[in-house]
Amino acid sequence: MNALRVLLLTKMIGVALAATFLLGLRPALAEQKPLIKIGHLAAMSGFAAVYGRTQKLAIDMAVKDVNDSGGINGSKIVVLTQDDQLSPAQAVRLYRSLARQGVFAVIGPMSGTQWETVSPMSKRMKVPTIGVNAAKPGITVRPWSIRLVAVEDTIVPEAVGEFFKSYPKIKSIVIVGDVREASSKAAAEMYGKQAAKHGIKVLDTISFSTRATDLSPVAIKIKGLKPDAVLYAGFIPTALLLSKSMQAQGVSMPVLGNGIIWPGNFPHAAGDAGRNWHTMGYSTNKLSSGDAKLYGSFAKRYLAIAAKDSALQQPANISNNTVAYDAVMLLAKIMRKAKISGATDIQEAREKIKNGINATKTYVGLNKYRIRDTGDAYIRARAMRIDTKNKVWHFIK
Amino acid sequence: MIDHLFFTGINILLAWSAYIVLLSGSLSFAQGAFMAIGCYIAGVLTVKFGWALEPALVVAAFGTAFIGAAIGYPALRTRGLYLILLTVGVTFVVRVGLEQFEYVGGVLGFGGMLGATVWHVGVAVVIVGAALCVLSVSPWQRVLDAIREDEAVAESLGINAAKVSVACFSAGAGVAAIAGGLYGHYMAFVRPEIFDILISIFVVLYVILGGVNNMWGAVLGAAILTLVPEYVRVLSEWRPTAYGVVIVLLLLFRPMGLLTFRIVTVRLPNSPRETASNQSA
Repeated sequence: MNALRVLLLTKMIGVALAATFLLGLRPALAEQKPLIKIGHLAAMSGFAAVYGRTQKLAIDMAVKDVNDSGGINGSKIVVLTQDDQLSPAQAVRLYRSLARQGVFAVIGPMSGTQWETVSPMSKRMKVPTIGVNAAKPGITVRPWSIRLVAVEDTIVPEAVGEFFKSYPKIKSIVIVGDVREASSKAAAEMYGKQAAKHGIKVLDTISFSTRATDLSPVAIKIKGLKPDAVLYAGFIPTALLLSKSMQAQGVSMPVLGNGIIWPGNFPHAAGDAGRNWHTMGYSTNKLSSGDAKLYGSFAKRYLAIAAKDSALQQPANISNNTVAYDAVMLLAKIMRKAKISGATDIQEAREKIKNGINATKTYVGLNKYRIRDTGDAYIRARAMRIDTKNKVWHFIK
Repeated sequence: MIDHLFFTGINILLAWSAYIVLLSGSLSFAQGAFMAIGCYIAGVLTVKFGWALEPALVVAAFGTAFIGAAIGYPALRTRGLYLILLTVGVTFVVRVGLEQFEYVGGVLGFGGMLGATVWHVGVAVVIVGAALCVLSVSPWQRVLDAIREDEAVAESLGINAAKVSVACFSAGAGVAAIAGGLYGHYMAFVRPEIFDILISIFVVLYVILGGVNNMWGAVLGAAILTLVPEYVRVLSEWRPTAYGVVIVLLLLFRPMGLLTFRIVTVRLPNSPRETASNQSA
């Protein structure tokens, strides 16, 4: 009887030990699962490097958050960032290179021209691709690519409408646009339509070139026309030139700039000359349309990390870098649900991600997205005004 | 690798387009413009009219060559700096013209072009290269050498330098058009801003760095300046500086280019020089 008890006890201890050993092995085994690779195309050098670097900052935060929460079905993720210098030819080369390296999906590239080249490629090469920049509507080719960013056919009407409501005394405007740049030209045309819709008179449409170095003639013309407001479509350098020229001419009516001046350093560089300037977007350094608690935590961490980068003007402008963070989190969510890990066959993983992306109608992350049939997202756009003292954008209301 | 080969091939074609013009002693900065014209002509034929790529490229090449001849006839009355400025002006005019041309999208760009592969570029390089090889060893090379060295003396020998120069300008435009058509059908989407003056500057740089005395210099210059930026990619933010340093070093130590040899031309058995040398022997 004692021998039987000893045998039984020994067996129980043996089973317990074996179970403990196996349970302990699980994490080690999970850590040995291959990494999930995601590609990222952005301008990391050249004149647009600041946009690429701040975007990468948001993406790195997302990668850390995903990996800290256990990865995806046992696999950690890694984002392979490639510097495309905002060149369409480089984007093509690097996109193919990332596909050959076995990435499950690609985030980017940044510019509209690059997206118009890469989005059709995603369909040909069957690689899920998420765009997080570029505002020109109608250039996303489904089903292998979507753009998480809101585009100008929704941003401009909403923001312009809010701007006009905030300044009810506006009866006439002048439109100032960089007509040799695609998205600016499109925005300038939309301004005209929105003005007509709100019964606002367009006194004139003044064109300038991307490479203009002196916009004082434009400011003088605006002064002569005496509009109640100015609607601007162009890049940040010319916006800064115009703001200084208008200040020099003593022209001080409200100015609404397009979404291109929302990211970047306009609040820092404009100084007092930018006090009447506004822009359009969907998040500030404090608020967004998405999960408030998540956004508050993200913004705090982002600004703390950005503060350590001496190349960035402080405070950093979070702007649309939230979309890059959400892109990584959306991919993580889709992969978790589809039981994808680093051991999944590449083509199978890509197919599942593509299906997951197409099945996504809404997503709430740092922003609140509704995916349209065009493949672009809808995010509620707001008009923003500049806070020259703190060098940030605030929602106009 | 395939992309590297493709873009190297495109740049070789562009370098040859500039080299062909240089053969007659003219320096043109309009190759970017002819690349754009060829791209858009081929694109309209394939996208709007449903043509296959290959005949579209041929029509684009001849069409652009015709446009090149029309521009070259008055332009080549100028020389040196004035010709350079004129061809720079052509590049700007073409770009602005395309931005205003709504039929091909204007500033918004033109897309839908598909079908170019690295094989197309390879065939184009072989065909143009073979033609240049034949030219290099033929008596026509001596005619071009004569015009380039001293146009007045060439004229006094009965060579119509103006016609030959225009022919070279036109042929260069045609080759640039082929490169443009292939580029557009590989990228699937183009905008006029892509074809700016920088392309023309780089194209001339390929030839000058590789060597202007023979057709292989353009090949070497294009290959090096296409591939070096890819292999110094690791330098990231310093890439433009590294690129510039490479160019400066090459110009300092090999100002005539990397390949300076001239190709010996073939003399026909009954040519006057052969007959004279036989008689003296």
